[in-house]
Amino acid sequence: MPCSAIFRTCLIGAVLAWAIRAALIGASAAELAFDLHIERGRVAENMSVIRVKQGDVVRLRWSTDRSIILHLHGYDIERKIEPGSIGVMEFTADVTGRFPVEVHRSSEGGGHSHGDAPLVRIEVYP
Amino acid sequence: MLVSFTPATAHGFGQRYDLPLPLPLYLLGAAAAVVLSFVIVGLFVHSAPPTRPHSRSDLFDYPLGRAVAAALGVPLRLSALVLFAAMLLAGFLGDQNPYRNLAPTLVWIIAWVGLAYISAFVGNIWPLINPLRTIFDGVEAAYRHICGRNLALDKPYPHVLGVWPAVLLLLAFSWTELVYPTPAVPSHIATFALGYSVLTWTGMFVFGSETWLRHGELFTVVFGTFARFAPTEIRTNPPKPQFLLRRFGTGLTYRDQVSPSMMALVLLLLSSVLYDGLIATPEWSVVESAVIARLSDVAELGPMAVRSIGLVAFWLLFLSAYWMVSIIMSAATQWQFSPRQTAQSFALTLIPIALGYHVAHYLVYLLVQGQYIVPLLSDPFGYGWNLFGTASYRPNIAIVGARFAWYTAVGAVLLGHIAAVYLAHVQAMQTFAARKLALASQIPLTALMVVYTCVSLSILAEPIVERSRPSAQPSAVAENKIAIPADAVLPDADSGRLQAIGPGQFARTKLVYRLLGSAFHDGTKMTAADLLYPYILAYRWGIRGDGRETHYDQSIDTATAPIRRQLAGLRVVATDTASKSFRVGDVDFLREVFTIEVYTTSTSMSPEREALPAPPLEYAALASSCSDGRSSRAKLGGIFADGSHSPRR
Repeated sequence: MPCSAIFRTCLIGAVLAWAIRAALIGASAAELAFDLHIERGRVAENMSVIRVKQGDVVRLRWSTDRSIILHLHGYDIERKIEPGSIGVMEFTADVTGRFPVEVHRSSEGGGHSHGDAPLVRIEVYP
Repeated sequence: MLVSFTPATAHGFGQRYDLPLPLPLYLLGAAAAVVLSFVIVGLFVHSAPPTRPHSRSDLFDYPLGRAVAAALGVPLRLSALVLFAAMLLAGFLGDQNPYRNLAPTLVWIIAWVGLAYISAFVGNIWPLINPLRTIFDGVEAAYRHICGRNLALDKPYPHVLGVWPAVLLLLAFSWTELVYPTPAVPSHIATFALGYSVLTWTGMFVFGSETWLRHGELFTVVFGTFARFAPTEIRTNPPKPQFLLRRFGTGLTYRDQVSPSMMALVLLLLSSVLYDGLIATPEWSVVESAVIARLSDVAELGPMAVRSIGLVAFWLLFLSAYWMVSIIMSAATQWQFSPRQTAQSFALTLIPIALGYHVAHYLVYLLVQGQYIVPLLSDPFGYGWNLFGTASYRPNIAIVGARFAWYTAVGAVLLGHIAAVYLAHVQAMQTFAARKLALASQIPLTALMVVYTCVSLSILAEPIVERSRPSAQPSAVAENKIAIPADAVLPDADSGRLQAIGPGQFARTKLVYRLLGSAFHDGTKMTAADLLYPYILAYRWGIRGDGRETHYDQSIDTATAPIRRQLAGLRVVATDTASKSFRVGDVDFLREVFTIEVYTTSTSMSPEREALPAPPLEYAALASSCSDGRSSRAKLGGIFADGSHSPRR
C-alpha cells in the first residue's frame, strides 16, 4: 500500500534524523575553560563577552587582585574569590540567554553597584 | 537560593536573560515590515476596505454568558481587593528581599505586564476589578446609606485638562519603573501605592469617582487604551450591561478625534516601552557613561539624571516626529484638516505598534519572572508560610528558549506593524471623503510606522556594532566532556543501592543503549529495573568492606573492577512499548524497548577496549548508538543483535 510505504519512509526518516541529531548533540558539546583575571574590578576588554553554544560545559577560572564576590545570574552561582587563588565556576550551559556576572563587593555591605555594566556577560546561543 | 538585588537597568524588577536578535532575523523582520506595508497600501489602492458595520454580538444575551459573568464578577473583584491589601501589608511588614516579598512581583510583573496583555487581548477588565474603585464605591455607598447624600463633591471637571493628569502620572510611573534606583524594594512600592491611592481617592472625592477614573486614574486610562485593541467591549452603563464581541482593533478607529492629551499619552506609551528596551541594552551603558563624562565639567550629572532626561527626551522626540508627519499628511491632503486635527485622528492607530513591541519585550519576561508569583502567593510576606502548598516552587528559567523568544518577538512586532498600517488606512477612509486623499495621507504615516517598527527591531537586535565584538577565546577546550543529568544514578559502594548522583558531574563518554525487552523463561516481563540489577550486583558483591560483610565475591570483584572504576552514572531514559510492536496473524508481539544511558569516565580512545561497561551482557541489544558516532554494538561481543533471544537467568 502506498500509504504505508510513505508512512514507513517518514518513520525511517524521522528515526534517522533523530539519530543524527543525537550524535551531533553528543559530538558538539565541548568543555570550554576561560581564564579571567580581575584587576581593579574589571577584566580585559577582550574577555568581557563569552559566547558559548547550548550544552557546552563552561569552566570560568577567576583570579583577582583583591577579595571579591562574583555572582553569575540565571545559573545562580556565587563564588568568593581571594587574591592569590583561583576561583572556579563550572556549569553546563543548558539554558539559552545572556547572563551577567556581577560583582558583589564583600567590603561594601554586599550591595550591588547599581547601574554598572556587568563584569562579564555570558551568552549561550541555541 | 542565592538572591540579589536587581540592577536598575532591568525593568522595574526582575532579571532578563534575553539574547539579542540574530542579524538575519533582524534584517528579515525589517524587510518584511517594508514589504508588508506596500502590500497593505496596494490592497487599499485596488479595493476599498469592508466598511460594513461590524457585527456586534452581545455575550450577555446568552444565559451562559450572564451566568459566567455573575459567577466571576464578585470573586474577581474580591481577589483583586485582597491582593491589593496583601501587597500593601507585604510591602510595609514583610521581608524586604524583593524575591521573598509579594509586592514587587505582583505590581511590576503580574499587574503591570499581565493586566496589559489581558486588556489588549481579552478585554478591559481593570474597571471591573480596580481595588481603588471598589474601596471608594464601597465607602460612598455606606456614606449614602447612612447620611443620605453623595460623598463626592462632584465638582465639574475642567474640560481642558483632558487626560493630562493620567499623562503626568504615567510619566511619573515610567520614571519609577525605569529610572528610580530602587523600584524593587517592597517598602518603597507600598509607599508609592499608598500615596497613589490617596491621590486617586482625593480625585474621586473632588470630581466624582467616574469622572476621575476616566481622566486621572492612570491604570484605567492606560489599560483602557490598550483594551481598545481587544476583541471585546465591556459596557457597564445603563440601561443594561453589555459584553460585546468585535474584531481586533475596531476600538482604535473612531470617527471622532482623540484629545491632545490622549495623543500625548499614546506616544508616551509607545516611547516608554521602547525606552525600557533601550536602556537595557549594553550600548546604552556605553552612551550613558560617555554623556556623563562629556558633561562632567558643565554639570555634575548622575546616571539617574541622564536617564530622566532621556525618558522625557525620547517621548518628545516621538511626539515631534509624529507631529511633523501630521503636518506632511495635512499638506498632502490639501489642508482639508489642520495638522493638529490630523494628528488627533490617527494617534490611536499607533497603539498596535506599542503593543507589538510590548509583547516582544515583555512576554518572555512575564513567562519567566512571573513564575515567582507561585511561591509568593503561598508565602507573601517571606515569613516561611506555605498557604497553598506552593512555597517551594522554583521558577524554571528554561521554560522558553532563545528561539521562542526571537520568533515571538519578530512575529509580534510585525503583526503590530501590519495592524497599525491597516487600521490607519481604515481610519483614513473614514476621515477623508475622497479615496485619493485618504491614500495620499497614508504615505507619510506608513513611512513613520516603518521607522518606529525598525527602531523596535533595532532595539531587540541591538546595534550591529555589538555583534562584531568578538567573544572571549577559551584557554582550554576539551571535546567530549559530557554533563551527566542530575537524575542519573550510581550504585552505592556500601550497599549497592542506587543513589542519584546530583548535578555538576561529568563523564567522558555517553552510551545510549536501546534494548529490546522480552519475557523471562518463567513468563515474567522484563522491566527497566532488571537492566540496572547487574550493576547493583557488581557493586554489592564486588567491593570488599571490613571483611565481615556477607556479600563479597572475589571473582565478581575481579570481573567487575574495570566497570566499577569507569562507571559514572546510569539513567533509564524511556520505556517505549509502541515503536517496536508488530503483529503476525492473530498474535501480537508487544515489544518493550528500554533506553538506558551509561556514562563512563573512560575516554574510549580505542573501540576495541573491553572495559566499557555494557549493560547486562545476557540481554539482547536491539540497536544502540554511541555519542562519539561509533556503534557500540561491537563492544557488546556475543550479543544477539536480532533481539529475538530470550534472556537467560
